[in-house]
Amino acid sequence: MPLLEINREDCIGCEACIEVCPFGALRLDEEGKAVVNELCTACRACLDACPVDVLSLPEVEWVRRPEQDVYQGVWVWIEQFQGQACPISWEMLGKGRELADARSTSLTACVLGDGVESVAKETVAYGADRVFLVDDPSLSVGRTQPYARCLVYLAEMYKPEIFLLGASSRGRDLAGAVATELHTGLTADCTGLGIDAETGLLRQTRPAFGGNIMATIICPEHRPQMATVRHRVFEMPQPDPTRQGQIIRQEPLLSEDEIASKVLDFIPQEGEVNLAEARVIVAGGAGVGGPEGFEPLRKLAEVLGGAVGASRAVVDAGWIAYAHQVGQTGRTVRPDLYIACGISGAIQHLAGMRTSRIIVAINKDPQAPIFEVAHYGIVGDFFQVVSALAEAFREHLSVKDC
Amino acid sequence: MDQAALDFLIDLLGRDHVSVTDADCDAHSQDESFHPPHCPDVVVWPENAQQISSILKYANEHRIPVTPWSGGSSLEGNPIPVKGGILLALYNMNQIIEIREADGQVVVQPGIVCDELNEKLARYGLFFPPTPGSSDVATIGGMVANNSSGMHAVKYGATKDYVLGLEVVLPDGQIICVGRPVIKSASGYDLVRLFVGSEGTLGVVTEITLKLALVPERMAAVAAFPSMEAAAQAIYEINRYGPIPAALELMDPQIIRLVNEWKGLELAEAPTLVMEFHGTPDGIAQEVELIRETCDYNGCTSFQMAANPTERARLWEGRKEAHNACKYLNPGCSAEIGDLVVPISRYAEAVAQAYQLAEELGLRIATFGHAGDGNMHVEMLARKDDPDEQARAEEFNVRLVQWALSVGGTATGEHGVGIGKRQFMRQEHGAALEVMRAIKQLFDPRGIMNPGKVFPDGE
Amino acid sequence: MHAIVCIKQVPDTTEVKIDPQRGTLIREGVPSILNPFDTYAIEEGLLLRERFGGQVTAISMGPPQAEEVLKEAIAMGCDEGVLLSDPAFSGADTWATAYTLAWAIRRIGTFDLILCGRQAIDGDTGQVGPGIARQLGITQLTYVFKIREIDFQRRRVCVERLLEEGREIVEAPLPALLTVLKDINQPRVPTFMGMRRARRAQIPVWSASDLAKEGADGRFFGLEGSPTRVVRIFNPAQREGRAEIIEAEDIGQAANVLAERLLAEKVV
Repeated sequence: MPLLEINREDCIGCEACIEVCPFGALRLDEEGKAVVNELCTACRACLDACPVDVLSLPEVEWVRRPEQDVYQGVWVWIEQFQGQACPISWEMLGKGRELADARSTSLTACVLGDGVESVAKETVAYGADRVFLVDDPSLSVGRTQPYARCLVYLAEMYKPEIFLLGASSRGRDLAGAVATELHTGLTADCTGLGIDAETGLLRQTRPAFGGNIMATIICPEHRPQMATVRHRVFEMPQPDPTRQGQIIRQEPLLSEDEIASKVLDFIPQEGEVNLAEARVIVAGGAGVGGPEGFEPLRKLAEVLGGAVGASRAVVDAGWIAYAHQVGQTGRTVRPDLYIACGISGAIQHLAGMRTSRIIVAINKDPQAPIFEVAHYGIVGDFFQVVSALAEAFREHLSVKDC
Repeated sequence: MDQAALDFLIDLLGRDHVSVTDADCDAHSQDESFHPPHCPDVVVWPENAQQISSILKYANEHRIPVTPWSGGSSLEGNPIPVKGGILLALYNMNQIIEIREADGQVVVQPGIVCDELNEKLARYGLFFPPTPGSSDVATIGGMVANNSSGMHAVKYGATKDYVLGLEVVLPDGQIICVGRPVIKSASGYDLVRLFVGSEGTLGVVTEITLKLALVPERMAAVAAFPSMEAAAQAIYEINRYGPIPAALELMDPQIIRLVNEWKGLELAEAPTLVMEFHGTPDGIAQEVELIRETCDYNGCTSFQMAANPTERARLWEGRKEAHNACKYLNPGCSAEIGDLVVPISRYAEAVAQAYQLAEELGLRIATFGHAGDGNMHVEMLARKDDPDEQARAEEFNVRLVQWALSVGGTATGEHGVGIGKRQFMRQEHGAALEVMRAIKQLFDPRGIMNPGKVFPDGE
Repeated sequence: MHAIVCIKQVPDTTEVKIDPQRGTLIREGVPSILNPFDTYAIEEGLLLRERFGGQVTAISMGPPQAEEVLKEAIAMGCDEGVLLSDPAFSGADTWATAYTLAWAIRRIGTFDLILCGRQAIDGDTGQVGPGIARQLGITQLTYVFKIREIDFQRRRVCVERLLEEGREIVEAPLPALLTVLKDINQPRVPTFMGMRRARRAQIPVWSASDLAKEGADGRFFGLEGSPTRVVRIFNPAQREGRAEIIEAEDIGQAANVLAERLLAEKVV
């Protein structure tokens, strides 16, 4: 039977619920009352829309069971690539610290790799109270099977209450396998994590429907409560090299022979700064006039240690390669600083960068829509402004260095 | 634009559907051609036929020029508002009104993009066959205005062969419906085909009923030839003795060299036929066999085939990128495209003629085209900052078109008359041009609809 | 060669809009479509069948109307479709969905490869593929943008995965589960030949009790079997306010002011 319950008597047939249901599970019957069919997925979108409160979904019956108290601690998987920790892991640790403090518990990290003791030490500096280190040649390259075995073993042994992983490709791949094995709940791509004051549960917030709605999710019964988090959602904590923490070595669970997959090769991405990782992006749009227009942008990006981005229009026009495209079919980015040069602010481009921390718009048209989302702007010819900006930063930054 | 007119528009459409800002006017001043931009006085975004009707009625009374604009992807300056006035931006009227699956029809608004329409139709196994090279940005409204077509015209025809009915707002504001949603009719004058291809000079199309075709099984083939003569012979035999493919394109070595450079391909720099076959699996297998035999007989040096879309896309990549290669490898040049059509028996001659003229005038050109229907595209590359080269390119254009006309051809197969082809109208149509003027006069006595297009001089 | 493709019917989220007054989703006329990422998975299966012969089976869990996407998969060229539909399956999160699909795949029988799209455009999690692989105890290879080699005799597959840092070439034994990226191929459009077959196709519908007969535990289906629960749906926050436009005597000065501002914001 469908999950949604409707109080027919009090339904006023206003159709508000019908309009918001993303699955088309609701309609009015002959008597003008809302009825629901099997398409209902209990997504809860209709509950808020109903002005007369006649809709209800089975309340999540959650009673705190003593067995669950056994699960304690906030854990974070530290992703590393070729022996270097990935920045997303530090962001997770920072958030993990906050959650651990809210739960009055400790923060543990899991470091898997080959020759990654230094990463384990760094992990302590970034806030972990305890680090499980599995250091073995069989783990030098991330592979689902051995990595999942380690994490599953550790989780079953030490029973964390919460386990966070970065939502990188590797992280999502691994989290899916681990959560399934542990028979627990996993919420992907969270943009918000918090501890519910009343229940102590982890509240996980994430976008759905292509980002058109936000959903808050809990994992009431199963443990650990698992979540993956997108890059640049949480702040990067400051490391404290004087911090003390426990590093516990763990033997790998599988020998190389027991591991089914083999990584044969790795071909790094050509050259430039990875758009997805960049803290600063200097992007050009149609207003830069042509491929030559990207020269001053490149120079500014270099001074700022950033990457060059582009709107779809100029990528389509062939002025710059697709790897630089921001928005729509290109990348979604969330740098600290996004400088939009000669970009009018077409809606597709905005979708790709509007959650950047600070947006600067440089455009000769003061009416350009980009100014609606920018924090700062200069109206003028981009070439002059960008060159002047590069100069200004060169001065300021070199002054800072001495 | 006087304040009264602006007030009227704002009143009618709402403030956020009317704009006089530079940014908006600039964005609607130039299409994909090299005709100089010209800003309108105001850009408006109407939402339905009633609003457009009120706008045209007002404009007609006050003699304000009105230019409809849909995708802005045209190649002959067709929607450039050369006399200013009101620019009707129609791309937000982009809905599919109804898919009539059982009848193989669809009713759409003008602003919907061709590829998007076909994407939505895909799961019904239906498609709208005329696909211009710009199908990822071209809109149905623009295609109707220009009677657009593309590589499949040889088998499927052009837009006019698929329009069953139109809702049109006439220059005086009257809204009429022409055509019936059925496959054939012998009833009355064919007004549908008067509006299709009229380039927005007789009214504004606000709803289109299209006939669709069934998506067929497909196979692509590419054949390279040792010489233009050999390729021409093969083309002749295919056109005359069949079977007729669903696409038959010719690329010359110059364009292949540009494409190789642009996309890093390694196509043989030789005259190349790019073909596609549609039908049932056995049917197309046999067609390919027969065509292969024809190509072999005429000395083709290589013949490749592909069935699945991924491989077909690879075979076709060169042809799809032809114009882009010319444009982007030659920054600082205007890459104007000629669009002449000649009787198919003269197609090879047309290519030869083009190169002869180019040599005589010292110009760089590259050709590719729809050999299956005699429609040749010539890319004339002339530096924008070289007035002499620009003048020679213009001379080349004129002389080549005149030659095409002299052998019974037309100045434009797909791109429309717009601005640039007006100069050939008299030569091409003779007295019939006056009849066209009379029709224009009947529909639009005050000359407000898309002025400066189609007819030479001012009307 | 037997490839199984997992597909899903989803609302077309590109058509979903927010009501500006009420801040709620407007679902009017939003059509249900085959998850676009799944078309690449289907095509990859069809390409393998073209090379090696064999069969491609499409499988989907959903309400009865999800039969439409299975018919579409058959119209594209899949040999068969199977629909898992039962009120007991509804409200499932990714764990329960993977559990259910895994049992259905066991019921189908032997296979060489399971193909999934990268993620569904409504849930956007990308978790079900790995979940199925784990349930079945087979290797998962995610973010595949090319199958380099596949050998059904030696039972090995070699793929290229696209990761943030670059491309990884990895080899694994068959059977394996692959989640494929957009643009791994160009999906074909249903032709009239495919539409004919789809029209005649009979698509079996499997229920919870069908899977229970195989050995599945009914408590793990649907909402009841879902470790996660949605407690709230709301709208993303919209940004307010306009930019601080920096004006100065000349561009050099304006640039200086902006540089100072940005340094103060600690973004540089």
